[in-house]
Amino acid sequence: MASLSLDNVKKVYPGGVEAVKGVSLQVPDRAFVVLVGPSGCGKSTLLRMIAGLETITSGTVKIGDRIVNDVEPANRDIAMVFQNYALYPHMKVFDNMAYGLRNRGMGEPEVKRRVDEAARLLEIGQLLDRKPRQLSGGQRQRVAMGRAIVRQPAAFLFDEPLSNLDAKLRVQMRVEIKKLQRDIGTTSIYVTHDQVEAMTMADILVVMNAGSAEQIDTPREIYQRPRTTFVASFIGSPSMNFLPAKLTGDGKGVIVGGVPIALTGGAHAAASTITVGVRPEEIVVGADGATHTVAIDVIEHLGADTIVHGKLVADGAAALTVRLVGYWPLAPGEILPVALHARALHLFDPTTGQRL
Amino acid sequence: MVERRSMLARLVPHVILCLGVAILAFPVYLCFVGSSHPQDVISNGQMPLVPGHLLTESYWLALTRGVARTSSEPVGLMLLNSLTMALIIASGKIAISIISSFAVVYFKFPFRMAAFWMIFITLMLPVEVRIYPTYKVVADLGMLDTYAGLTVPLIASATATLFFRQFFLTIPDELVEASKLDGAGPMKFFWDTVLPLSRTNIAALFVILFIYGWNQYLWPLLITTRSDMQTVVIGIKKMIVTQDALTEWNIVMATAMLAMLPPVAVVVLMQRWFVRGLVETEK
Repeated sequence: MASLSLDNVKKVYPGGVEAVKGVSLQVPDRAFVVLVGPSGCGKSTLLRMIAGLETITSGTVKIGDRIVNDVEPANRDIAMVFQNYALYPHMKVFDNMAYGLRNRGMGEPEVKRRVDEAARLLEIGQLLDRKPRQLSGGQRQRVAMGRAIVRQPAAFLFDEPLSNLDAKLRVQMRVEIKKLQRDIGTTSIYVTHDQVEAMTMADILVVMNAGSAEQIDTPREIYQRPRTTFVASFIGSPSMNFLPAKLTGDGKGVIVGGVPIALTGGAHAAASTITVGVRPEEIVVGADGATHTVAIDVIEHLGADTIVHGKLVADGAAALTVRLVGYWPLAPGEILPVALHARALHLFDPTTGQRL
Repeated sequence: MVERRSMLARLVPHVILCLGVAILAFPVYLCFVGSSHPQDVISNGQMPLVPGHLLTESYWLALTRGVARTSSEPVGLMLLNSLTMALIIASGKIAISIISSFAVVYFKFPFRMAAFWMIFITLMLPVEVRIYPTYKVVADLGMLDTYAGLTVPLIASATATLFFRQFFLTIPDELVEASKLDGAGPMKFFWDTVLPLSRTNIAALFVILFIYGWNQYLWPLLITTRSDMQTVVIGIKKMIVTQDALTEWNIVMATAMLAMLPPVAVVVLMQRWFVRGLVETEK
């Protein structure tokens, strides 16, 4: 167990492509950190640099108190779970899990004890004599986890470990991994592009975009106070709505679709153009207190929710998505009265995308 | 596939296949029949179509004595020479090409691709093309009439290197990375992961290369002068005398049959592996 820290870590590929543009991150002992972002944002590269599978162009990676920039992957005291599991196809499950221990010269009784313990933890005791190809996807995933657990490393690194599983199994394994990590308390870094995994598993969530960490915070903070429009749109489903707006003359209100809404916080720069973000689930529907109306284009019934895609009936006719709880018998073409409340609004600078 | 075709439609492919087998197998059968008749019967040009009475005798004579009138060695010894040569060539080719493709695929070193292309280009330079310089080198090294001289110049193999390279490229990178994290160095990765995964490919290649080695004709013809180093393929040729004497056709045919047996045995025994190696990937 150990803490882990990255200090201005950069990765520049030969040819000048900057995959990671200076990321700093402090991971306390026993924490579960999730790196999330769209494909190509550098999250996997960052993880692989921590693992030692990619060289670090500049900056330092520390595991515990040791700078590991030039340490071989095997000596970094980390274990990794790969997206494709990367089990040795010709070895039995037991040997797969034991391989790393035997290579380190551990005695056979201790190897057996550790493998058996991990197998019990993961409930794969009856699979130890099988070859990986005789296992289902979920079982392979467990074996891959087991191979990491037996090592008892300072940190676990997960590289999109659930993306090859079907949806149902993914939910189940997500919960199990989180529980397992809490039980054994090993510091973990988990890469995913799935925001549900990110939100549910993380103690600390790192939202990455184009090689930089856009925001490092708790999932709750990231959901409630996204620092940039990118973070705001990436986390949350359906995505946050962004509407063009203007601040009022005194800077204490905002005009959205021609309707002024008084803001609760302090004054902003008067009369400037801004972007207002509002989450689909925070738009209140109903004639009472309605501030705007929405012309409905498409309706999606998800069972538990109804998602309404429409346009704000106002100048500019900005697209708006509304999430309603339960089944709503609406039809395309109808007009839906909605209320945008000041506390649901996120204000962003339209040019930089930064939160105001 | 659901079989719903008419009797005739099913019959035609069978007839064609049977015809093919007959065309291929008939000379072999004739050879077998020939080995069981006295030499004068064949020499008279009256080739019978049913086996004669000399079956065991011909084979026994071939194996232990060879052809009486030429200086030939017993076929038993020739078979042993051929077997040794084929085995050394097949295993040598596999051993060298598997490590060279391992180097080309998994290591980054200067001129890596240049090295690979150099190997690749030797495809255009088989022994027949470079026969004089190769002979000179082997002769200067004093390797004439030795197993080393017989095999070493044939061992370097671009085909096998290419074959292994293509296979290694299909091994997922994650396995390499997992090995690194598990503390296995390059050679340990080779022994513990690459080699076991290549088993079926090695077997498939062995079949092909064994037959390649067994069928060598031109090179052994040049390099061996001593009759006790003769391989069976050359032996057969030398048994057929053209002047002043009658060819002992029954012995020649028996030798031809004997020469066919080891490659057939290799194919039959390794067929399962051979097919798996060419079609299946265990990953």
